[in-house]
Amino acid sequence: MKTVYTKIPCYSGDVSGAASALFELGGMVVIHDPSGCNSTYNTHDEIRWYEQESLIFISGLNDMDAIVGNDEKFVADVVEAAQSLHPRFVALCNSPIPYITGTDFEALAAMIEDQLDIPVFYIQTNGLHDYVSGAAGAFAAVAEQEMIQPIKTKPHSVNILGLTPLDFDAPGSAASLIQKLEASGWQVVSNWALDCEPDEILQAGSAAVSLVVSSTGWEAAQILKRRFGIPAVAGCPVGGFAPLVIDAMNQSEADGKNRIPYAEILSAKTNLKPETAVVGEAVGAASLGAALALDQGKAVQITVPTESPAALCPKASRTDGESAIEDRINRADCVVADPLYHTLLHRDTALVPYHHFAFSGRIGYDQAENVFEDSAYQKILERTENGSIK
Amino acid sequence: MIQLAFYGKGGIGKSTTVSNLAAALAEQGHRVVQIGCDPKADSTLNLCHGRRIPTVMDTCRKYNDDFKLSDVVVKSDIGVYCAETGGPVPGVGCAGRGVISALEKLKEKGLYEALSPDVVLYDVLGDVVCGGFAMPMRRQYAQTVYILTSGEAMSIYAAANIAMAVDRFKKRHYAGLGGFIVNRYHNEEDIAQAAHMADQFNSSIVGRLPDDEMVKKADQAHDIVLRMAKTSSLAEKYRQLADLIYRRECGAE
Repeated sequence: MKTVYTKIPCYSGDVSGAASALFELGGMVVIHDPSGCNSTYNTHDEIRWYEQESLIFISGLNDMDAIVGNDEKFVADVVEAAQSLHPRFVALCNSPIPYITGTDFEALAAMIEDQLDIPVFYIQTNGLHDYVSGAAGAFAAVAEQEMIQPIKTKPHSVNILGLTPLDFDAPGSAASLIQKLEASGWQVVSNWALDCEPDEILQAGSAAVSLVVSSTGWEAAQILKRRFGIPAVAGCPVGGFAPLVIDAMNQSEADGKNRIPYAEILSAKTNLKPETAVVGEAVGAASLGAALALDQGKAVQITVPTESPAALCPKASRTDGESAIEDRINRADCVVADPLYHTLLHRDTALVPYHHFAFSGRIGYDQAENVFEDSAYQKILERTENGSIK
Repeated sequence: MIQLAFYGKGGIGKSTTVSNLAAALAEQGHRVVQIGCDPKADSTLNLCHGRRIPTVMDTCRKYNDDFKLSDVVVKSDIGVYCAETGGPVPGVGCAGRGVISALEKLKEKGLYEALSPDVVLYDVLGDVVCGGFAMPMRRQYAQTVYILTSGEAMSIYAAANIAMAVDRFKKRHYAGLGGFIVNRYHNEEDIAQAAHMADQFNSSIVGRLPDDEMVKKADQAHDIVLRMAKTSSLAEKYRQLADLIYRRECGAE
């Protein structure tokens, strides 16, 4: 029963994560699922859906097709759509029904690729994991594609990996991040993948460093390291933590090693009672927590309820289940979290809203903050210092 | 690494044949893994002297994911590593999905890296009744399917159905058809019947194993021919067939 959620929602599912990661990359995403589910994956979980065009389809799987294994119909439909829409690639996503019936998506992808002259790949979603898992799988699949070729490394250039509106929902987040990196002398080669140009991805092999701004980009970063030797730095340049991220990027460019600069800051005071807790996806929450710890000189506790890789989660921060989250975050005086976490807080614990689209979608979206802007970060810092909203 | 899947009508002698082939390959110095893909979980029973080994599905049911590869893979005294996918309790759940999950779990637990097998033999339930039982044919698993049959009409009918499935799966880049093994044949008529069917699939008979009392005796003793009657002519036939299949798969035949 420990994984039953009665007070807070669960995070967006893996299929939504995959669709979000690929939304702007010019491919065709096909989710093998009954008709009607597109609203779950996209209209509810995708803030860009009404503003921006993307080739995301639901196969309209019905019970008889699932029972008799009518995969040929799926293959024919995908081929026909791709031949008329000319996407850059086709990505197939699994969902609970074909997952349970054991549909072989690797084979379907091969069958479709045999009939098209573009890459066709499978992203291992099944509706049983959260968005981090799906988006990570999607970025990883892109990173493996041959369309990204080794190119001569450009000094002081960076790939931004793991940027999706499920984690960075405030308008202008991508522009602010890019501006911050450029102001520090770094040229952005590719942005995976928010407010981006699909062609940028093709240049990813030329970056000196990958900056992983959410857990969704870590696996892709490791693939780019394996394929092109590009080291990864995990962290978001926010508040007083930003110079440390830039320092880590400089060091990684010099020695080719991966770095997670928030790890040391957050482990420095783990034996103290936390005054502030930050809840969210590992890299975003830990970066914000590191900034608050540096700027306030206080112990900050991180709680990661998402399926983030262990390497990115500060010590003991990965927390499963509503009651475990509740126990953990109420040890702090003030909790920086999505506003819907207020239902878990005890009377004396203050909440500083930090909207997370993958958690609450459009509920409270007007409170979304672009933390790459110093003014937005300052607002969170001040609210945290004041023990803000009860 | 060579990976082979064995199919055929239920009761035709797949487990007996695969176990003896596995033992013959192990005798030749190869590192062999035999995986039973049947909820009955009796593929490796005789390799293990009648001892039932913990199946992957039972272990998952008991411990969820909290177990090691060594909890579900047992090395028999003849040198073959044995695993059984197992399945749901009879009458409930989904046996095909069980095979898929179990094979994925073995992979996830590092079977192929940890054991570095030279040969993996998948002994699959009687017929390709659903997608789950086609799992061992999938691209990342077996490269070749061998179908067992006798000369009896129902057995040949089942073998033809399996061969049709293998043919249909070509466009999915699945395993190819290696050929037919005629098991428990009584006379040349049995062989002729099977050969006629093989012709229809542009395939051939790769092995013929007679109906031999020794198989029954070994089975009653929860043993295999290659251990119980290692110098018998039947044991030699298993060795020859194992050698032939191995050489074919290596491209030497």
